[in-house]
Amino acid sequence: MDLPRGYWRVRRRIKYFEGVDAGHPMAEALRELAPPDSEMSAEARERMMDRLLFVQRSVTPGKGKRGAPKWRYALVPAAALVLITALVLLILFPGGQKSAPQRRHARLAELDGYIEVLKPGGSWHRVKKDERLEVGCVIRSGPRSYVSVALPEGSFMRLTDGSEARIKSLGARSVAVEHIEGSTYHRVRKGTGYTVIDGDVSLRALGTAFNVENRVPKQLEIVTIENAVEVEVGSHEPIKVSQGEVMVVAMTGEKKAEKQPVSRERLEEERLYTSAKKDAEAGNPTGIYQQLDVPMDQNAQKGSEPTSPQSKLVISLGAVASETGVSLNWGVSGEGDYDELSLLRSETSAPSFPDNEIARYSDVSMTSATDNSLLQEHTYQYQLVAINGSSRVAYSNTVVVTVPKPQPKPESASVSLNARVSGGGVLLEWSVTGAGRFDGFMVERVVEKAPPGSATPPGTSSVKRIASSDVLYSYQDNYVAPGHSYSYRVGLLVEGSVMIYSKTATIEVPAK
Amino acid sequence: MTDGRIEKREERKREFVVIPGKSEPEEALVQEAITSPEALEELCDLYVPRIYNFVLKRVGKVQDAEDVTSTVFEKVLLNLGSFDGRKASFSTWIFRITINTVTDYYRGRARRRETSLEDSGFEVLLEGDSGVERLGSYLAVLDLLAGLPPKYQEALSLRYFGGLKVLEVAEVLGISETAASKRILRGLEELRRIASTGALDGLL
Repeated sequence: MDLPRGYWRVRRRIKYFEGVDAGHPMAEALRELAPPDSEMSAEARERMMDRLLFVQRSVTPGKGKRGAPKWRYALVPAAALVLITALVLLILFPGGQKSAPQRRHARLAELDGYIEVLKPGGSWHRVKKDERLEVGCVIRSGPRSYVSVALPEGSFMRLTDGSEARIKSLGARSVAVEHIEGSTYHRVRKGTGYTVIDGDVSLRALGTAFNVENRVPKQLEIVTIENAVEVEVGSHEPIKVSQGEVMVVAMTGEKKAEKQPVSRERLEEERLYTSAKKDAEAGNPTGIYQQLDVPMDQNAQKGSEPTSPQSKLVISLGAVASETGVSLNWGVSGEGDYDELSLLRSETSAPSFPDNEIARYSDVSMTSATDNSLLQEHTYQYQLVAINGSSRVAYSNTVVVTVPKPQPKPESASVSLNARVSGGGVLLEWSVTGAGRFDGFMVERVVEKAPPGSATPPGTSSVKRIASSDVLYSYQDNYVAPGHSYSYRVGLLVEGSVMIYSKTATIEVPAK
Repeated sequence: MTDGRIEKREERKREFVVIPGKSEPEEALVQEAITSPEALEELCDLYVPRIYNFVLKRVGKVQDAEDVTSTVFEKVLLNLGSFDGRKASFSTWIFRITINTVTDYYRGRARRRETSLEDSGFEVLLEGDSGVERLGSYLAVLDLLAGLPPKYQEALSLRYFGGLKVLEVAEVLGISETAASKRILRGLEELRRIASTGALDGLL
């Protein structure tokens, strides 16, 4: 047999190194616990292939298409004939025009790269600038491509690369768009009822600018650039996402959402930044970009801080603001030497070294600090710098925090609870409003009615603690029995004890 | 003369990709997949099962694994033009893309790791009490793994979830075999250390 060159040498090396972890209990546990191999579902595989073939067409226009049957070329003269006939009929019977309903269209105002549209009842086709889109059209952008869609009432939507959206309705004063994939930036005209839908999450805006993105699997991110957006998840109460806030909704079975100030890094991320820049160029206010003094000049704002090219250090900085100050915590990972950490803080613009240095730590094992010299209702930006000798080797992310006013009275907090039967269990959904900081929830369940002889007679109670600071939460209780009736209430935990309870929700699980 | 030297040098470079028992796709197929739908499907047939199972074991959720796998293959397709079979084997290259994509996945979810049993999607394992217990332990191990420095996470997952030989782990991570074996052993020790302080102590 013709063996490749070096075969035996490689085989000897493999044999030697393969034995290094033999008999290690953790190696055996990892192998034993890992689930057996399985196949990707046919549906997911088909979705993936469809996407890949689209990308293939995008990057090699004209080459990657499956062979179009030659008879299709005969459609061109046929279509021309139909058009001429229609024109003749219109000239002969002009009254027909009066009865035609007025239809609104969106228009592709600006595009670059490879953009495809799927019209209702049609198939995907490549589009050009100024093409009109009717209700029901799906538009998608290929890699390194983008498209701006001018909506008929004056709003616009911008799709960045690898994104997909469907136009659901176009009214004189209302627009509905379905966000399917990637990231879409929306500038809403004042007075328009503008809705973006993704699964069972819907966003409503009035006179605002915001970005919707789902590039992280099963996670939907909403960043409000200007004014505010109301986000409704399932049957939860709507949550307001104000200018400069980011809300992340976990799109899994158990819905969870988290809201916090948007970081400067997120605002400077290329896709979002470019969309906001285009928006600003159209003469629109830039909201949070202006508030944080983020320059709308791509060249000036990127890479202005020098770091050592050899450094592979990653510094993750987090911050929590309370009425008494800001608690900072950080972690340093990766490879690289540093002997000091410098903490930067600024109020109006991005922190810069050394002007905004407020502390320097030579004990590099430190991972937290508290800043108490702050003013309430002021916004601060923090950044950490690793220093080796006299050179800066790595920068952390920038965190933006606003010191709150004294907390509202506890009585103003409320928990709104919904319960319904779902998938053989009970789905509880609740949202928290008016609460400052909290640590989690206490779900209490009491059996109200039970068939005779039940293992869980009426009065049986159980509790479940959930550690979370999410403002909305879903919990599926699968440990319920058919024919039983349960009452639930959810308590808001602050420092380990219940601050306030929701109203009780009672629900009956049908007998089988 | 000059041509002969170049040929020898290229052979030496290629030596590390000759892994006994492993087959590599034809370079022609890889290049063809840039433009040909049929070649792309063939390439996916060859690699989707291996990558999907690696990702599934690494992220612990069926839906997320499907999404991450799809992202991996999209990145592969977009960068096929820059793939150079003389620098690395296709397997090495695709695993390198995969671990970077998984790292991005965890970075994006760093603030919200969820490992509820209902969500994991390992339906096969959920049959019977021992299946639930095993799945619970496995998800707990994934949580522990996520707490290790990235270099150990990568080495351990390639070795035990990807089923790669130490030599292949070394190639994917761009380090020597000695360094790879040390990294695996240190990762295992670190994992054992943090597991010993928690509920998994008895099991591990």
